[in-house]
Amino acid sequence: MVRLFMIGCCLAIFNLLLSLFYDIHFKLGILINTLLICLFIVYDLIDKGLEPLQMRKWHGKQEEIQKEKLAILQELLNGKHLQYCAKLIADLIHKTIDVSGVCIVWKHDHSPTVLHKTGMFRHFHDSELLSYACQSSHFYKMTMNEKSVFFYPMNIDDALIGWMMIGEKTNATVFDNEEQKLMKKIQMDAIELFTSSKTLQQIENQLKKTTEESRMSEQSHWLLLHEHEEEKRKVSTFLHDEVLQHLILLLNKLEWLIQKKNIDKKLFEDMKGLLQRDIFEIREMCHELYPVMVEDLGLKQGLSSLKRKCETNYNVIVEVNYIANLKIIPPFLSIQAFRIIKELVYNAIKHSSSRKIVVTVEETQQFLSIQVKDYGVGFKVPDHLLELSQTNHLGLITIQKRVHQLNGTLTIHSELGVGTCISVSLPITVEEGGGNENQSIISR
Amino acid sequence: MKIKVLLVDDHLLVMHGIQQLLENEIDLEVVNTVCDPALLETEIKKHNPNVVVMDIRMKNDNGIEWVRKIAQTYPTCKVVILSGYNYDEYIQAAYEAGAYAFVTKESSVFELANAIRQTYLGVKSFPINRLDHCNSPLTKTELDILQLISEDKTNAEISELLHISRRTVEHHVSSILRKLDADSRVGAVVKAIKLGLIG
Ligand SMILES: Nc1ncnc2c1ncn2[C@@H]1O[C@H](COP(=O)(O)OP(=O)(O)OP(=O)(O)O)[C@@H](O)[C@H]1O
Ligand SMILES: [Mg+2]
Repeated sequence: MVRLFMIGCCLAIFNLLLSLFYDIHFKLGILINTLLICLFIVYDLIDKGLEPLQMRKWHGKQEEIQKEKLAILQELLNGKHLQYCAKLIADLIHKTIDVSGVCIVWKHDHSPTVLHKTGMFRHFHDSELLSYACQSSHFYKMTMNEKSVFFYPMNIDDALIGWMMIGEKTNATVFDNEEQKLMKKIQMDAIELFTSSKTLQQIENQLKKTTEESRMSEQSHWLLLHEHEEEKRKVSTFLHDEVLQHLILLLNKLEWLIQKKNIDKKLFEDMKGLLQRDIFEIREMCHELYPVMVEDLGLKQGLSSLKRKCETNYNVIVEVNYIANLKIIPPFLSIQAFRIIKELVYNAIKHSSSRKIVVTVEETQQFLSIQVKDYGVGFKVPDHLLELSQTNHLGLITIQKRVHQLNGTLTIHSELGVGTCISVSLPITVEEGGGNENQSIISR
Repeated sequence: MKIKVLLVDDHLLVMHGIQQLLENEIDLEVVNTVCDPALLETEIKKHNPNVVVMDIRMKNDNGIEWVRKIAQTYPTCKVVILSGYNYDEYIQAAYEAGAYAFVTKESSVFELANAIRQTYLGVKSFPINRLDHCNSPLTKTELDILQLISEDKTNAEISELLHISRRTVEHHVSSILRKLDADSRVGAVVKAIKLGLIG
C-alpha cells in the first residue's frame, strides 16, 4: 500500500514538474508515465525476487554464529573459560570474514591481558599489543605495521571490559555493509559470552571455596572428635599409670611396715613423698580439666594462678592487668574466658619465644574484653583459621568456635618479627546458643 | 573447758576421719558434724561452737561465701578452712573473707589441731609467707632439677633427661621455688647460686 501510494505521489510530482517546464503532448505524457510505472514494477519485482537470496546468505551466517555460540556456551559449561571463549570467537570471526588476524583482550580487574591472538597479531608480543590499548569506547580504526586494524570495544554499562582488534581483510578491501553488520553482531555476542563466562568463573570459584571450607570444617570436626577422645585417654592413663600404680605401691609398703612392726623413718618419708606427689599431680590434673578456682574465686584469681604456674614452669614473665568494674561476670563466661586466655598464653609460650607476655582483661559496661600480647616471632595468620586444622592445630580454631558461640568477636593481629596481639571481646549478658560473623582477622 | 568444734564437709568419709583424729586431742570437742551446709546455721545456733572447720569447696556451695556470712553474723564463731586445694589464691580469698586459718587436707592432724587452738585464741595462721617450707633442705632430685634449670633447660627437656613425667617435673619445680622462696625460675637459680647449692 505504502509503495503504491509513494509511486502515485512520485508520478504526480513528476507530471507536475514536467508540465511546468515543458509543453508536452498529452499522449506523450501518458507514454512516459506508463513507461515509468513499468520501470517501477520491474524494479520492485527484481528486488522482491532477489530478497530471498540475500536473506538466505544472511540467515546462513546467522545460523553459523548461533551454532558457534552454542558450542562456546557448551565449552563454558565444561569449565574452559575466558581463553577458550576467546579462541572460539576468533575462529568464528575467521570463518565469517576473511580477516588477516584477530586479537582479543580482556581487561580483567583493570590490568588488560591478551586472551587470544591469530594471524598478523601473532607477530607481536603481548605487551606490544597491549600498548595499543583501546582508547575509546567506540569503534575506531588505526594502522599497525602498515596494515589497518579495527578496534571493537566491549562494554557493559559503559564500563570497558575488553576489546577485539581485527586486522584488515586479506584482500585489503574494506568491510562491506553486511560484514560490518556481522561484526557488530559478533561483538555483541562476544560481550554476552564474556560476561556469562566471568559470572560462571565467579560462581565456580565460590563453589570451590565453599567446598574447600566445608572439607576443612569436616576435617576440624574430625580432629575435635579425636581431641575429645585423646583427652579421655589422657585422664584414663593418668589414673591408671600414675595414681593407681602409686596406690598399689603404697599398699605394699604399708603391708611391709606392718610386718616389720616398727616405724621405719626412711620408709615413712618415702611414702609421704609419693603421696604428696600424687596429691600435687591430681590437683593439677583437676585444675587442667576444669579450672574450678575460676568458678570459686573469679577470673582474676584464676589468672593469677595461671601466671604463677607459667612463671614456675617456663622462662617467661606473664604480666596480668585486670581492670575490674564491679561487674558480675557469670561463672560460665569466666570459665570460657579463662580457657581462651590460657590457650593464648600457652600459644605465646610455645610458639612466640617471647620472654614477656601481657594479658589484659577489662570489664566494661557490656563486654569482657581480653587481650593477650607477646613480643615474639609472630606468624602469618591464615585467611581462614580452619586451614590450621589441616596441620592439626586446634587451639585457635577452638577459640574461634567458643567466641562465635558466645556472640563475641576475635581479632588476630600478628606481624613477623614483631609479635602477636590477639583480642577477644565477649558480651557480658550471655544468651544461649546463636552465633555471628563479627570475626575479623588482620595480618600484616 | 574444751574448745567446741563444728565440722562441715560434704565428703562424709573424710569428715568422719577428721572427727576421729580430732577426738584424740584432749582439749578439743567435736560438737557435731554437718554434711549439708544448709543446716549450718541451725547447728551454729544450737551448739554455739568456738571454731567451725569447713571445706572451702562443697558440691553445691561456695565455702568462701559461707566464711563471709559466718564472720559477719556470728563473730564469736571463728572459721578454719580445710581445703583440698592449696593454691595461694584460695588462701588469699579465705583470708580476705575473714577466716582465721587455712589448712590443707593433706596436712597432719597435728597441724589442724594447732590451727584450731590458735584460732580459738584469736591468732590467725595462714601459710601465706610460706615460712613453714622455707629453709627446708632440697632433695637430691630437686637439686638435679635446679642444676638443669640453671642450664636453661625446659621442663620438657628435664622430663626426658630424668625419665620422669612432665607433671612430676612441675611438682618438683614448684617445690624448689617454694623452698627457696622464689617467684620465678631465674629467681630460684640466683638464690641457689648465692646459697652455694649449685655451681
Ligand atoms: N603467639 C604466637 N606467636 C607465634 N606463632 C603463633 C602464636 N600463636 C599461634 N601461632 C601459630 O599459629 C599456629 C596455630 O596455633 P594453634 O593454637 O591453633 O595450634 P597449636 O598451638 O600449634 O596446637 P594446639 O592444637 O595444641 O593448640 C601455631 O602452630 C603457630 O604456628
Ligand atoms: Mg595452641
